[in-house]
Amino acid sequence: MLVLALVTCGFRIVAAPSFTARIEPESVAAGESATLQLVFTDCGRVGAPQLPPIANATIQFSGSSQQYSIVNGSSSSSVVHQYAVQPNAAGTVEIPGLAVEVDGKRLVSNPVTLRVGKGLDLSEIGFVKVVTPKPDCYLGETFPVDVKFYFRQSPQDVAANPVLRMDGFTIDQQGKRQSGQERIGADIYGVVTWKLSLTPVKTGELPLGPAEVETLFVLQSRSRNRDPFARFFGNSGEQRRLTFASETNTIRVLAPPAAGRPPGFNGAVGRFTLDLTASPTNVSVGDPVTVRMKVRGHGNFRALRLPDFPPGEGFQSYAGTNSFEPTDELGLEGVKTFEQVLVPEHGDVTEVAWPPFSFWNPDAKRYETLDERPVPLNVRGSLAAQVQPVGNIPSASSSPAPRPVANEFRPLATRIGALSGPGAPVVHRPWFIGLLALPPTAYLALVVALRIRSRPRDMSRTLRQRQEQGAAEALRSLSALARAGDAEAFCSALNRAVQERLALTLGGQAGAFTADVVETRLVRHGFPDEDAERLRRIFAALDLARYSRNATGSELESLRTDAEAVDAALRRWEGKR
Amino acid sequence: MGGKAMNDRKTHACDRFTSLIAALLFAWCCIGMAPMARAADADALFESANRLLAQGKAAEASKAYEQIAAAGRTSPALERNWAQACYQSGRPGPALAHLRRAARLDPRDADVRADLAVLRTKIGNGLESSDDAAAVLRVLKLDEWSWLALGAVWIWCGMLAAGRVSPAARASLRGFTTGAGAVAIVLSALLFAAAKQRAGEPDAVVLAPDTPVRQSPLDEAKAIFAVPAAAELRVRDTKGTWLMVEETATQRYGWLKQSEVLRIGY
Repeated sequence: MLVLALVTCGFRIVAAPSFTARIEPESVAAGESATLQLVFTDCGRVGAPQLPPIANATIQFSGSSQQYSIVNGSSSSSVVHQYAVQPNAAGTVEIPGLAVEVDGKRLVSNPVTLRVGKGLDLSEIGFVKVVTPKPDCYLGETFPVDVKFYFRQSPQDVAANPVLRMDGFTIDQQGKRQSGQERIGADIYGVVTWKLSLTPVKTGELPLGPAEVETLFVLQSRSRNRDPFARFFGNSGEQRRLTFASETNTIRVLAPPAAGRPPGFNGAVGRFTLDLTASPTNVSVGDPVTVRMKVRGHGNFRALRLPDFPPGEGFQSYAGTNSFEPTDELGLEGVKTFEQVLVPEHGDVTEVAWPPFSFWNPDAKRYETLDERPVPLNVRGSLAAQVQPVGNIPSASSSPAPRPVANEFRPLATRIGALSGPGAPVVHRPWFIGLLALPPTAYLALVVALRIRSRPRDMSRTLRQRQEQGAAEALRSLSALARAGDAEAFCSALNRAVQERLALTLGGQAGAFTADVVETRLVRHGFPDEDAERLRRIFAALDLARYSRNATGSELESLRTDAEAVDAALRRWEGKR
Repeated sequence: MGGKAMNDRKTHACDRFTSLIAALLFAWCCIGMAPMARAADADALFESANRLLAQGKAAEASKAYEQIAAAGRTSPALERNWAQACYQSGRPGPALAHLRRAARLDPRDADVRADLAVLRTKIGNGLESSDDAAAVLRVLKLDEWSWLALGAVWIWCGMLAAGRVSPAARASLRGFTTGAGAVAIVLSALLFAAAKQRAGEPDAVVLAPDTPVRQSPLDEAKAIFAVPAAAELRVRDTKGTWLMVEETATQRYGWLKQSEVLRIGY
């Protein structure tokens, strides 16, 4: 360490201090920047010198560094101060020799010159156009304008809104920015479009433009692209804020002609339709009637106003309101609704009519007038009901009253009328809600109860259907069993057919009936004797079959005939009962 | 002797019965006459208040009207005249509240509606727009719509129940039941619309000019906006002596004290 210090001190003693200036690069394009380096060699620690004002450039200190070097056994140290030089215009930037005092010695740097070439050709990057639908328009006519910024290379950022320089126009509405692409000749450009609506406020040849669009681009820079790290990370360009400007358009603004101008014309320009309604139309004297006029169409809605309601039409009129509902982005089309409250002053009023509305149609180049049909009114009320000043009680003998004063209170009530106590409306009281809910709830409960009650009947119906089915099946099978001579199966089926039928007819459990039922429950109640006799035979045959299963086919056939006859007879008898 | 005693008992019973009837008649007269007497008193007071107002003594008239209403009973006529007294004595807020109350008590009263329109115009609140639907709902009071809808629902459900119980009744009442159902549904819809319309009406009127509306129901809470005298407010909530109110025109809301407004009620 000591050796190194001695060596360093020894070299310091022998080395001569120097102060040099250099600039990199030595030539740049307008808008680009260069770096000025002030190098102090073997001067020890030297602070950054204050630079004098330099013509045609803005210079800012950007940092310092220190270097040591040993070449062929001799070492040196240097301090480098860096400055960013931003030329203001094409030409040269002359940096004179700078004088600095170091350790009592005056050191002077060499002068350096930066050559500044011509700047960027913005037209190679992009351009701005102001597009108007037509070269002339009328005073007060609102028209759309597109400011379009075309570019070949996508900008990093485009200003929110362009600056449109103009004289004699007002901007009514500004639409949202739109982006897209357009082909111009063989080239495809990216396009950013701003839509505006303008209204001329004076006549003559009025300039419109230029429109200026400020953007941020990344440009390939000669001074920066040598940085390998920047190139590696893809940041090989220089961010530049550029302003593009369009050409100036000229719009000829005409005044609507004086010839043929309707008396009620108030400067409305566009294409409009009018719809007049009034509500309510069945009123008493003194009741407010709201008159609504809807103006639809295309034009300058912002300045659109209808003629005032004239006095002396039998109405007291009050200040109206209006609202506009646009149907397009720029508010050039839509519906403007005017509302005004009118109060009929006497019962002679039969309709409400609005004065005609006139406007200049710039497409047809003529004045048009909309005169809506009056809205009929039914105004009830007599003189006594008319609005009168306080204390002025009309008498029957007085002559027809002068125009009533609708801005005064009606006469005082002379009778107090029925007195009632305070209280919230019944509809807000819980018991009323209960009363309202009770009938539907009770009805639903009734429906449910009836449904539950009818369920056993449904069950008995199902059982009866099953019994009917069983009896019919057993009866149908008798024929085949008789032919087959299967006495045992025949008797079983016969027994089932008879028992099921008796259960259906008399009620009770199938299988519980014996021959006694013929006397006790059938014959006594008008069952035909002949059929009763058949039933007795069947019971006798079934009793016999318990002991002897031998029966001939004809016997079985005879029993089947009896069974069918008894079945039919029991059905008939049941029906009669 | 026995016959005489029996006659005496009959006479006593007859006397007691006569006394009872007389007492009942007296009580009935007393009960019946009391309201009539009160009504006569109210009529007299009302007339004297009207006289004071006609003489230009609006403040005294206002107090006289207040005296009539002190018993807790009021009428559209009383509220309307009271409103005029308040307005003439330079108190537009109470005037508007009384007219609003009168309109609630009798929405059919053309005089009240006309006075309300005049007052709102005079104090700069503007006229309320009106349409046919509002005119239809104004035909009846909210309570009247309520009772009508209730009756229609009861009749309809009664018919439905009768049809359920008796199939014969169901067949004979089918047309009536359908009609009653339609009427019940329409009246219920009208009741709903009337209740909704009432809910949108203001509930309170500001008494003093530039009354501060605060961020919370505390005296030290920050005032977020101020409402002018006679501003019409909807009451959204209450807490103690504080009301959370919403300005009907701007739909801004905040808290102010109950004493700073007059509730419309009814």
